[in-house]
Amino acid sequence: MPRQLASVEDEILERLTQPLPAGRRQKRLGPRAQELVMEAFGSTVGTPPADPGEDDSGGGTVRQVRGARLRQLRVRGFRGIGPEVTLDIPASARLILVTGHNGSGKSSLCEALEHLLTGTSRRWDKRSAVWRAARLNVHGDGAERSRIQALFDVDGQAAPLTLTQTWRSDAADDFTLKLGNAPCAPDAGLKGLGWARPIERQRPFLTQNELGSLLESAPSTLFDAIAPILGLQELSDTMAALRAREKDAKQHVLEALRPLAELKEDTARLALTDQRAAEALSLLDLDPVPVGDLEALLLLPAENLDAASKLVVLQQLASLRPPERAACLNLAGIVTEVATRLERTAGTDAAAALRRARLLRQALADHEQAEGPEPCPVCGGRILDEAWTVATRQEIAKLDAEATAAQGAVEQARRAMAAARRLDLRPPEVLAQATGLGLDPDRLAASWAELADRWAAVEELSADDGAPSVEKLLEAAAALESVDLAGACRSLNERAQAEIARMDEAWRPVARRLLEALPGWGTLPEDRKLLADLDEACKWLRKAATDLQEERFRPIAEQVRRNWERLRTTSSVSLEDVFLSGGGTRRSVDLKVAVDGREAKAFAVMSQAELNSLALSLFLPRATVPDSPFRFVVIDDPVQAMDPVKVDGLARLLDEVAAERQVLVFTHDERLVDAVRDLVPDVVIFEVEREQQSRVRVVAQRPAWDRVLDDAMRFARSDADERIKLRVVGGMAREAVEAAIGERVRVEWRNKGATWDQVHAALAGKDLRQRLAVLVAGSLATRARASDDQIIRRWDDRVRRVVAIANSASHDELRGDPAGFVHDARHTVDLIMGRS
Amino acid sequence: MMSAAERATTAHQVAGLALVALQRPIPELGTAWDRAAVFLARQAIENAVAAAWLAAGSTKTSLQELDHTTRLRGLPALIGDRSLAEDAGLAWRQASRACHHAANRVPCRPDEIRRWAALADATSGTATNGQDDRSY
Repeated sequence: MPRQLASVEDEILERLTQPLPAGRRQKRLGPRAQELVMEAFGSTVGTPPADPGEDDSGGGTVRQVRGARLRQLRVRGFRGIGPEVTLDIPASARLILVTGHNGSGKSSLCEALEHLLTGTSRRWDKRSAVWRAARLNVHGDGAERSRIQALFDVDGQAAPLTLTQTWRSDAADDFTLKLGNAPCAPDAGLKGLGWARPIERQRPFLTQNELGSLLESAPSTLFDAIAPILGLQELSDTMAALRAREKDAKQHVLEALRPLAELKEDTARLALTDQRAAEALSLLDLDPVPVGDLEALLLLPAENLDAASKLVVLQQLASLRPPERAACLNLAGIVTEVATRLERTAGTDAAAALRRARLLRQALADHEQAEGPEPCPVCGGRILDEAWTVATRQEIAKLDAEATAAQGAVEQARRAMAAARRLDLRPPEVLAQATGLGLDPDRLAASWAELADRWAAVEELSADDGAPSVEKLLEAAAALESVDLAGACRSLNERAQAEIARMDEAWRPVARRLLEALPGWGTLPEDRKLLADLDEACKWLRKAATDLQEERFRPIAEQVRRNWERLRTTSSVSLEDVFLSGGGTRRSVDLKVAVDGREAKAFAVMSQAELNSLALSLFLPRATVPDSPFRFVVIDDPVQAMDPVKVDGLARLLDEVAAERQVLVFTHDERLVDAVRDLVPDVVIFEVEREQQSRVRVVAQRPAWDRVLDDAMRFARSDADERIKLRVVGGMAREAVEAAIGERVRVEWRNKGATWDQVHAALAGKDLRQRLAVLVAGSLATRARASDDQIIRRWDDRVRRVVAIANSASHDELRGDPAGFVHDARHTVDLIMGRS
Repeated sequence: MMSAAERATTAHQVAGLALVALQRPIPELGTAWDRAAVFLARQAIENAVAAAWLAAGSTKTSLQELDHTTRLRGLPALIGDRSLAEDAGLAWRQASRACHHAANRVPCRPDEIRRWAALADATSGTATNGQDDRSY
């Protein structure tokens, strides 16, 4: 049997973290992709895996009830069953056959158990409402018209687990479920037991009706019916989650990129006339888009554009201001003041004044050397006395002041002219570009040029080192004051501003859209990286899933092949291999078969019986996976069109399955009963019998010979017509002894390796004495005839009498006491069966 | 003890008992009684086949050496009516099968048992030219 499956998360974790074993070709996954895989599992690397026994089929923590074996099934008012009938299964029973003829109610028992656990029946649920609605038995009555109750032995629990389903009407949802004595919602009950998912994935019910239809259905349906036993649903869910995340990421990237083309187109349309658009377009052409640069361009275009760009020029023109009038006026004032000073000092000679003052200082110094008044040494005339001294000193002071004033005025005039030269009154260069932009700057340019010319004239006045003439300076000051650029400049400002506004009107919507798109483009590199990691994780997980699927299906495929080998017996069709292949809509179960060694198409070369056997081979593993909480399998009507040899193989297969779990088989085919009874000494057989008013009885089957002799004894003691009684008792005794001999022969011959066919051929058509001879002969090599001597030697007088009378009972009447004869017949049977 | 005259020994008589069994059931015997008619019908056929062999000159001793299948195989030649012989053979096989106690078998219908009894009667009558006195 396949080993217990590890949790999918464990397996994936191992593949993610452990060194790659030799031969495994799957490449190591990147760290981020690893995280993505584990995130998809709802976990992280290093976190212990969830309890594999926990049923995650929804709704809170649940206990996991395992090892369930059926102990009792009680049914009333369900389909063919009227009053309550009980099927009590011995605790030790491993293989149970429930037999009964068609319409006896055995299938109703089988369906009742299925209905209790699944809420429906596969036999009915795909049929019309008319079929599905007929659950209630016509003879049911009372408040609770129908009830199904099952007791299960489960692991770790002394008391049986009880599940009860009752309903009052045929409405699909009009039933209640009880777990023990506690009512529960129909689905919550199974969830609470941890059975909700296993009842689907490891469905313990196998009916030929369902299996046959699955075999005939689409390849994907067959795949879906088998694949769940691999326990990879969690992996499928994880892959789905990962793919969903990948899809989201891809969508995110696509949504970020979606406006790019349109924005590029719109931007390109503006790029011819708007440098901002041209710059933006060049940025948009880059991959990834430099979001920071683009944002700077959008928010502060002037700082990020070439100085010669139209917008920058327009902005310069819009903000162009004439030389400040104050500066001009100040300059004019300075010029006027300088002129005034120059005029005031006009006619004075600072140098002459300085020379004279120096001469007078020397004369005064010479006089101070004299001892009193003395005549002027130069002219000898005027007496240089004290009065002269005072007067001379005053003259010296006056001459110094004159020289200083004259020098100051000149100096001030020079400084004023130097300041005026620093004042740039030339027309701004940007004005020259305004013409190209269609802004007509001529008036402003002319005024500016006039100002410049006039100032140039002033500069010419001050070009030499000498002081400018007062008249010229005053003339220049007047010129500066008279030129007014403001009006022309304002006009140009407005035109430039209007052009900017016109450009903005076209640009702003595009810029706004660009700004809106920026956040998406901002995360685009990370999103693309995430997308690449998700793609890597998806591919890795898909490969891991394929590997895991193959690894897990391999032992199951082996089991399927073994099952087929058991069932195919003499069939020339060999099952070479079974694969789960493809994925998505191309998923299928591929069967590789060969007919007498030549490869063939499975379904085309198989008979109906072989197809039935194949279906059973395929689906038995589903019901017997070690993970299943159900330690029972219910098989309904498995024989179908099988020939006796295949029935023999089926019996062996059931015996093998029953070694691991409780196998409950519902069948009407006595060949299977015979075959199983021969093969499995401890088989438990129940008979289902139907009486009037839908009363169904389930009785444990005693051997046929015992039951026949019971009937014979009842006849012997009855008031029946004596002629009938004598003939029937004799016939029944013959029947019982024949049956016992047949059973003994089957067991002994089969133990010696005889086939079912050989046993059948040895007994077919033979009367009692001849059958006894077959038993005595004991082997195929001996002719199936025994002399009376042989019989006499082997058994006693009572046996001989029974054989003699019973063998002739078809031709003559029993003579003597019928009851005594039945006692002798039972003695004979006991001897044959080794019970005496 | 019944006298030989009271005992039903011919196929015709045994077939008659089968019809009696059908007509007068004993409820407390339940399904056992139902099967009594089947036993009797089969015995009637076996008696009819034996009568055919005896009428053809076979001895009781030699007849005991033949199993029922072999006896039935020779019946067409003995009674000269292949169709009747084959019907009788089929009826015997069906009745034999019904005699085996198997819970999962559908009980025989009364009309089936009547037909088997009638076939036994007809076979016996054909084999003995209506005398039916060659009881076994």
